[in-house]
Amino acid sequence: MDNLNISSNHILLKSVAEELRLPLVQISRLSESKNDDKQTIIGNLKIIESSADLALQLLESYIFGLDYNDGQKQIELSPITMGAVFNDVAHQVHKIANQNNCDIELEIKNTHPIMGNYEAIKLAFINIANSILVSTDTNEIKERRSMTLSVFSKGPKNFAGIYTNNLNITRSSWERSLLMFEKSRQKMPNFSANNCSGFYVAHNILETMSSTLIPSKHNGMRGLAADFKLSHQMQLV
Amino acid sequence: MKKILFIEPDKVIARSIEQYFKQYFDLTITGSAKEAIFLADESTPDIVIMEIQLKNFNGIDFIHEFRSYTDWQNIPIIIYSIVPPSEFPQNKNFWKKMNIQHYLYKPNVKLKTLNVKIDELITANVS
Repeated sequence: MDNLNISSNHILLKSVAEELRLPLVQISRLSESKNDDKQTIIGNLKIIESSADLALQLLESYIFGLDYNDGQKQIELSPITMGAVFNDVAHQVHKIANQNNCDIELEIKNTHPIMGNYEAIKLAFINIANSILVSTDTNEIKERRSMTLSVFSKGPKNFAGIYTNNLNITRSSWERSLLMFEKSRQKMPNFSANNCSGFYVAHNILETMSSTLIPSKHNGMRGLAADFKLSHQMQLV
Repeated sequence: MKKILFIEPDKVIARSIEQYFKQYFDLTITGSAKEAIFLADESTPDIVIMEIQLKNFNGIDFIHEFRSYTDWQNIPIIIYSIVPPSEFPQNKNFWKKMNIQHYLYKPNVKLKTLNVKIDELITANVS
């Protein structure tokens, strides 16, 4: 997967720019809506706020990844606990999850400290969560959903992933989307009508720490996960 | 009230469409092209307005299927899409062949303008 060069910045920028059309159109169209009902107006304002927040998070994360992938900045790795990162991610995405009809579950098992960059990992997983939340909350799905943020260790690595029961991403569809990244507007048509730029921005950020985003299965759910090397220094402590 | 079938996968845009148009038209909104076929079968719409970029079933496939039914060949279809029409340069003849009345690019076309286009189509069909 290393040779799949989605970090070619202009390609990713185009994808992010295309993705940002949607929240801007959402804000523009909602501001046109005609109604005098106070509750509906308050609801619309909340949606406008979350559309703007999602757009800003995607943009800021793209810029963060760009700085490190360009070699303008060197990413600093330090021993961190993924449980703490995922607590933070869960806290950050909670509001968007609620608005998108989804409950968040946090599952942290037998984890060890890893070598990573707290801010980078947090941003990467916030983008993954946001993309899943927005993409899976469509007109077709009426029932409330749940999303699990899971951290577990396996052998010499920690795995961190975000899983849902309606995430239709397989290893082959993910790899095909990376291969077709430059040519395809809708990267994963079986999963989303959007282009899911948040996944690729996350992929780019994780690459700066030599971590790889992969489709994964966990407790019967599908998701996207990344592996991280354990911090031997902290294990000794 | 004229019946309009909207195919719109995005919940927020669907909400704004519903709030804007519900006072003028008998609206049905779905995010699924497959469901749209069933809905059209249950209650034949006067106009179909659709996004071309959909999950699972792409908009072009929907148009092919919709137009394959004899009764629906003259129902006006407006494409209201986040995808710029310039991405389909080879499809100009296709839109004509499939009897697509307008291709409107969402970022540039507000609901007010969409409403004008719908009114024009209704007036043209009545006369």
